[in-house]
Amino acid sequence: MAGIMWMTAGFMIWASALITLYAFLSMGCLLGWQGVRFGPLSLQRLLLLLIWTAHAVAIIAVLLARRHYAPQDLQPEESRLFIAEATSASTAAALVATLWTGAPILHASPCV
Amino acid sequence: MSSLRSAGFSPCWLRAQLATPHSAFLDAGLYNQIFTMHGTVMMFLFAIPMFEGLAMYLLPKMLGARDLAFPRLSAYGYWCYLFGGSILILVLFFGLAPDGGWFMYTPLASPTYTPGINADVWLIGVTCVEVSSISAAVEIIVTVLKTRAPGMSLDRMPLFAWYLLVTAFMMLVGFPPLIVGSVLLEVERAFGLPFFDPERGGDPLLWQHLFWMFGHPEVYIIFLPAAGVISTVLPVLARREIVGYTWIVVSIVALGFLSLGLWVHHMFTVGIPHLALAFFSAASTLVAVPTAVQVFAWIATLLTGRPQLNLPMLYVLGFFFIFIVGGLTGVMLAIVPFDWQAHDTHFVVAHLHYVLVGGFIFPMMAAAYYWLPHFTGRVPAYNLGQAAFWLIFAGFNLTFFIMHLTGLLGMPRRVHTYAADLGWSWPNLVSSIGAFILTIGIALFVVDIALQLWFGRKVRGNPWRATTLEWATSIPPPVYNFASIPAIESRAPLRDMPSLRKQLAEGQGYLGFVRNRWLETIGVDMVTGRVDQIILLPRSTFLPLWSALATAAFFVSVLVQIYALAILSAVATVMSLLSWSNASGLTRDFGPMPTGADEKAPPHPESLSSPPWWGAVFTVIADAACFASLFFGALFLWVSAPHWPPPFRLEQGHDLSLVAAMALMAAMWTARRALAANAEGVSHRREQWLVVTACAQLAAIGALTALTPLVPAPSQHAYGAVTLALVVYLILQAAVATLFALLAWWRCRRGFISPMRSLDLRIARLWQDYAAATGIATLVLVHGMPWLMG
Repeated sequence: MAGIMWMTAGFMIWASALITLYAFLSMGCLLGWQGVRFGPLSLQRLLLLLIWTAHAVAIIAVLLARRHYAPQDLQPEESRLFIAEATSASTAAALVATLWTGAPILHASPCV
Repeated sequence: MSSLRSAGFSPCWLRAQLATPHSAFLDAGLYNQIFTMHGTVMMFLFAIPMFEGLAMYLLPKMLGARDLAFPRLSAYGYWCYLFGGSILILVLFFGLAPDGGWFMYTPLASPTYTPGINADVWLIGVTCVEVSSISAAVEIIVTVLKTRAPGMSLDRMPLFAWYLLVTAFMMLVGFPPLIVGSVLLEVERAFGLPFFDPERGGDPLLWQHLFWMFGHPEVYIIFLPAAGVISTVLPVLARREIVGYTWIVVSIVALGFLSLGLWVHHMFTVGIPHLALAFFSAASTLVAVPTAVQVFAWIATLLTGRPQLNLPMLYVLGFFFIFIVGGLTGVMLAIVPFDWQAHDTHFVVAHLHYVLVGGFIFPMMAAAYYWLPHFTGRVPAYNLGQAAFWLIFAGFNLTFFIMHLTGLLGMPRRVHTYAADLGWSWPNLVSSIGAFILTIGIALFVVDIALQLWFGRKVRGNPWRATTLEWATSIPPPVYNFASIPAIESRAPLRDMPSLRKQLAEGQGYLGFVRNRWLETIGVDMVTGRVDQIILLPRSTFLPLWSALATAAFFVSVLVQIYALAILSAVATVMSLLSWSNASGLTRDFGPMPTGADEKAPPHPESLSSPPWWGAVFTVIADAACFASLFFGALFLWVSAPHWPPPFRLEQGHDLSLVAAMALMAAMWTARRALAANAEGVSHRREQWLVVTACAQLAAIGALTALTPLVPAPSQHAYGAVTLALVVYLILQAAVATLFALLAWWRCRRGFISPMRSLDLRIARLWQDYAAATGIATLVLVHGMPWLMG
């Protein structure tokens, strides 16, 4: 089961990013966070940027950690290579998906 | 077939009505009923059950197993589908069919605008069918993960199994939002609790969220198994291995996740902030990438192979053309400004038919011609299939390609007629002509299949020279599939071992003998495919039918609002389901037993990773998805609904909540003590701890029941309604946890449990943990949100 969990970890983080961003955007619009300024950014945009970045970093961490922590003793060898290759590809895809999905934070109006 | 017939012919009536302006062929009411039933039947009673049936037939054979992991669960699901579907179909004859669209949007579906039982029929019938889908999801997941042939590691698994595995996970988390939404809407209609009524703090958009959290993944739930058919059939007909196996697996996983995060793209016009629209628009465009990876892998397989242009291939090529057009218009609709223009027009109708007919019907027709020799032992005697294909292909494109234009000309969906001067007359007429050609084609297809069944030329063996294991059975296959179970060393076992079928028939595989009159199959490690247990399959029984009848009686009683009978039926359902355990398990330890291939494995009740354990885990995941939907609903109302914050709050009952929380946590701890006592072999203490566990849950139920009358005015404001719903959900979880503790106690007394056979205790502990986790989360939400929101 650990092999399957590693394969899906990246996209689980992507799902968390999407839901958390949507939830904090809705909360922020309700509570008026876009009107609270932090330098050039509103509290709303700052929080969303932090959430987005944290999820992207978490996926990068999975990408790096899988070399050390993913199951190494799988037999046959083809299975281990398959899990390793599929984990790398799906985690990298999840990273791109997270960056793409959250990119509108950089330019779109939050509460219009 | 009945569903296909009723859903397939009903659009002819719709197209006859729309063929000319100001047509009086159907009145608005009947038109509404027919288009609602067309969508409902096609989605819930045809597409999902069609692939579930194919999966249940093919999966064990493809995986090298003698049966599914839980044959009785599948039977129960089938009967629930039949009874739930019958509720929906039969009402058509009484003029009581649902008429609010297959999406049942509120407030249209609320009692004010849809009095009578039409909408209730939809809510009750669909929920009954959803029970069947959830059971099928658990069945498919555990079957794929645990009952593969020895040596079939994940990387050697047929792609069809990968597609179904991901699809089943999507069903497990995608269907619960609709179940929760349907229950809430039925409660609103029957008891007046205003979850979706904006005048009383509810929000119609909550229904849309819950519906599309199901509805969008549903499209991919339908498409993925069909894509699995393509990935299985196409390499065989192209006479080479599929290109990019690993990339296809990664694409399936990506598609599974991404499709769960797109639901808002059906709601682009409801007034959601631009940034949220941008998140979901971005996610919607992303989904094209893993789809394209698969399409390119299929094209590469065709280009580098030696394809044969036979009947299944014809339908595969039809799929390519139609599905790609549907995919491209899908990308157009994912772009918010375009969606605003085309929303709720016939452009969307054209797009969804290109996706669903291209992405499901054509592959399933290819599947029918490809696997019918396996089902029947016959191949087509006449060449009607080709004529059927060209009629279907031409009729479909004539109907729906022009419909894009009708939509761009501004014709809205779901209108039963239109004026003559709008420029919509000729494209509608063309679409209607196309629809009749399409229907003739489908009728010819059905005739061809029937002719094959009765008059087809008999065939033996493997007519397509396929390499997957389903063709290693005799044709048609016996009920137990394999006389002995193969050992697998590659993705193409029949290519590497052409005499495999003969070897297996001679018993030269695993379990090529009968032991204790048990029906056995091999259980394996989920990733490596190493043998880790011998699964004991149940014998034939009518129990699933009785359980499904009791379940159907519950739903019908709710529909006709005889609630005393509904409670009795619910109790009968639970008792009937519990009675399944009478004949399950072992009353003594056997230890590792010979598998017939120089290795030994324990029977599944002695394994820590047995199918029933994983079945329980995945059922809890489905339950957690229900809870997450309800939790989301409560948060959504707090954040987005009109007339919030509520005029009153739950200001009492903190002590009761504390008692409930402590009792739930105590049950969690005592269940662990029962497991520890079992491991030490102290049976009387194990049973005492189980009784204490059940008592703790009963204490929690008591405290929570005492809390319910303190919830302020559930029928006056959605705050009270959703708070009550959360508390009732928690009471139900505590009741389920109590039942599992008592069941474990009873099975201890019957001798089913020992230090080696702890399955029931672990399942009981799992439910105590789940009840405690949801309990704490619920009570924090119920008491925390009023405090947080001021």
